[in-house]
Amino acid sequence: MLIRWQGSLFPVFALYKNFTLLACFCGLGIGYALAHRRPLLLPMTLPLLALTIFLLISLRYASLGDVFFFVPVKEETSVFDLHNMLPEWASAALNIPAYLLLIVTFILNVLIMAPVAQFCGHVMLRANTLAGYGCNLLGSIAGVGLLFLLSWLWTGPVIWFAVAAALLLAYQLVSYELPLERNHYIGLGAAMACIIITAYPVEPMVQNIYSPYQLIQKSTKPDGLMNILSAGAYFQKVHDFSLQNLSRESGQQRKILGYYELPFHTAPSLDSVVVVGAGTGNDVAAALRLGAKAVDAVEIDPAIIALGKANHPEHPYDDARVNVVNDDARTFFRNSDRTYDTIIYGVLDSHILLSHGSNVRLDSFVYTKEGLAEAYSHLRPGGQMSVSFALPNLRMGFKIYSILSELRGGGAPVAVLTGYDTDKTYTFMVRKDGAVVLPIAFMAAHDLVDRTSDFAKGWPEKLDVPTDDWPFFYMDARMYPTSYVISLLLVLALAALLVRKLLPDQRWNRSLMPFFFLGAGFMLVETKAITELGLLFGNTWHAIGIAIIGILVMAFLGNLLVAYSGFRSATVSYVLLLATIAVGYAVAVAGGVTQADLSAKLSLVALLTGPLLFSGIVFSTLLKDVEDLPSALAYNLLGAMLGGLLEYNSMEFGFAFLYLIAFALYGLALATTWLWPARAR
Amino acid sequence: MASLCLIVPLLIFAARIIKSSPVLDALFFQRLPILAILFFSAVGVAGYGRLKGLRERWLHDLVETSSEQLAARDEKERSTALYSTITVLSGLTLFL
Repeated sequence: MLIRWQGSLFPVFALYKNFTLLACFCGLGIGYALAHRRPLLLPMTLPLLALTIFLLISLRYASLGDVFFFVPVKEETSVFDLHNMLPEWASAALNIPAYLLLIVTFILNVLIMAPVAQFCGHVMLRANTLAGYGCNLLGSIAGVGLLFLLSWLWTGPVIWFAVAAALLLAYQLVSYELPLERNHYIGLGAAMACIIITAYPVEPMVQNIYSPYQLIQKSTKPDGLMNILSAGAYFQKVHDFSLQNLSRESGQQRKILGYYELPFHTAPSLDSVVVVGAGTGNDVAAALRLGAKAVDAVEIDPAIIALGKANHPEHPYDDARVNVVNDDARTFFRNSDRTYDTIIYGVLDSHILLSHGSNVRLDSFVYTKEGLAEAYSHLRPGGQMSVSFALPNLRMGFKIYSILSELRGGGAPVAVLTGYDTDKTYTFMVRKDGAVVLPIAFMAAHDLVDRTSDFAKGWPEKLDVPTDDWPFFYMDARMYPTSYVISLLLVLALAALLVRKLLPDQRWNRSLMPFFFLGAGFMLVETKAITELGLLFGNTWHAIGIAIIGILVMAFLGNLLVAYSGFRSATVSYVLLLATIAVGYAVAVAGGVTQADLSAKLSLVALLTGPLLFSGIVFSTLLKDVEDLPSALAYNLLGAMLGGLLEYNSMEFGFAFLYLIAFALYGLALATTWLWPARAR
Repeated sequence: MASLCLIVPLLIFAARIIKSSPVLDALFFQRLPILAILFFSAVGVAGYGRLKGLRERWLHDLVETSSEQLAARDEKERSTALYSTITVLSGLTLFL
């Protein structure tokens, strides 16, 4: 909830999604470590939550809110990218507010989570460890399920915070002395403050919609047509280019019309068309105007489809020739057996949207070598594929051009500066078994410029083309990102400071070190599993949600097995765990599982979830000999923080490499289990 | 009666001021059902705890009573309170 909400306020949280997650892990770890101590701090949670909401909303909507829109990530391009336009010192100075925001929010997130974990840990002290851990996993599954239910219902932060506040308040009220004390009144007031402040700001002319992916803000352009923002940044707008609109060829409209219709003027046939990233329907409307006979319109966000259906002046989604599909572009092609004359990639770039559960962007697997090749394989002979992109820098254009020029049987690609909205939007086109013929007269009439020769000569510096293993389209090349390293050092320093302050006399317990390494390894294997499962079943919110729940179910099954089977050998479980990771790495390096049939999918699911099951069994086997469940969880969660930090290695080495790190971490867990065994009860 | 005579006109006056401002109106009246549910849930929970001695049998015991004393209580009741609390709070941490 905090991750989604904070990401919808400031782009820096959307790009540093891990930051909030790491803060939560840190808070939970500290909270569980505090389980033995008094006083119980639960009454602090609601006032701190209210303070966080007040602070972030004030900063976001105060006149200086723009200061915090700058994103201190110079390795990855974004629409908030000013690094290339400013001198070094100015760029560094602009980073300061964002770093301050990250620090303050990190501390507040830790302080919000710690009391809840302390309370939960305090109750766990009286429970049987395996049964308590089982309930912890069941609760986790239910918590994720509740969040996804609320996402499915398109609810917003007012509802999320109301649910959280009601639960917190209920526990606070029934667990302390009655009659009501001052703490309870403060809690009640803070709960109401959470809801009231979240409802701010009131913008009568803007409709806020919390789709499962993002905060969509619908407003109206001066011409009366719909305009859409995503978390405060420009996202989409609809156009009326119907023949009845007499101004369709006037001024700037002419250029925009040219952008939308160019791919259809160059396409050899419009019998069968697919538009991925169809948005509210502008591309589909263009296809219909120019005589397309059948159009598949693929859009990942159901709220965008609904807005297009209700508000597009040409009503493309109501046309009998159009089949609207709510799916991820990559998954659509992977699961479809249809072929097309024309494939159109709308401008589906997600400049600030990250996938659920990992640090790749929602569109990352669309613009990989394998992703574009998969789409291209659906072209009929002589068919044409068109990819449009608002390029923050030309290097990204060279990547697209390079991928298209390597497609088997494709003619030489063309690149046209279409300049839609910005002067940086390009449309790249490639034809199967032939060359694209550009409509010179149409282009001249609509100010579209052929820039193929610029791209054909190649980019002089090193550029890494994105692949499914290294899907970082927005990065120029594989590198250890210094911006992230600075932020990660910040996380470590803050975590160390908070542990020192909140747990001043805490000593490391060597016999709990295996739990630390298990947490770190689990985080990496989980990231790899979520990324791969997203690739296989779609980067849609529900597919990722089911993957996260599935991972927790695996851990729960492992615990159940240990609790009821009498299985006690941690070494055997470790061997199985390391073996499944080794197999997973070998398969990933060999190119992964690419077939779409059921048996291939099932074998990949088994391959990805195997390590999670065995790590669950190891965890529960070790837990049997530990009396202090909250401390074991504290070590595990702080280890998960380390895993979250190590996840960024994928930006240099790719995702398969995470398996190697996980292998090493699980090896360390095994070594520490042998070296410092917990005393058996 | 005197209080009512004072409170009712005050409430009407406050409501009129709030309704006259679109900002206050949107902030309070449109959120009123949620606030009311939250408030009455809290009051209800507190009230039920007071009525039935909920705190003595439920969470309060888990927090305040020593393990030895707790072990002497009814096993089923103790387990239900214990494990349901762990489940709900763990769920809350993931949800948050």
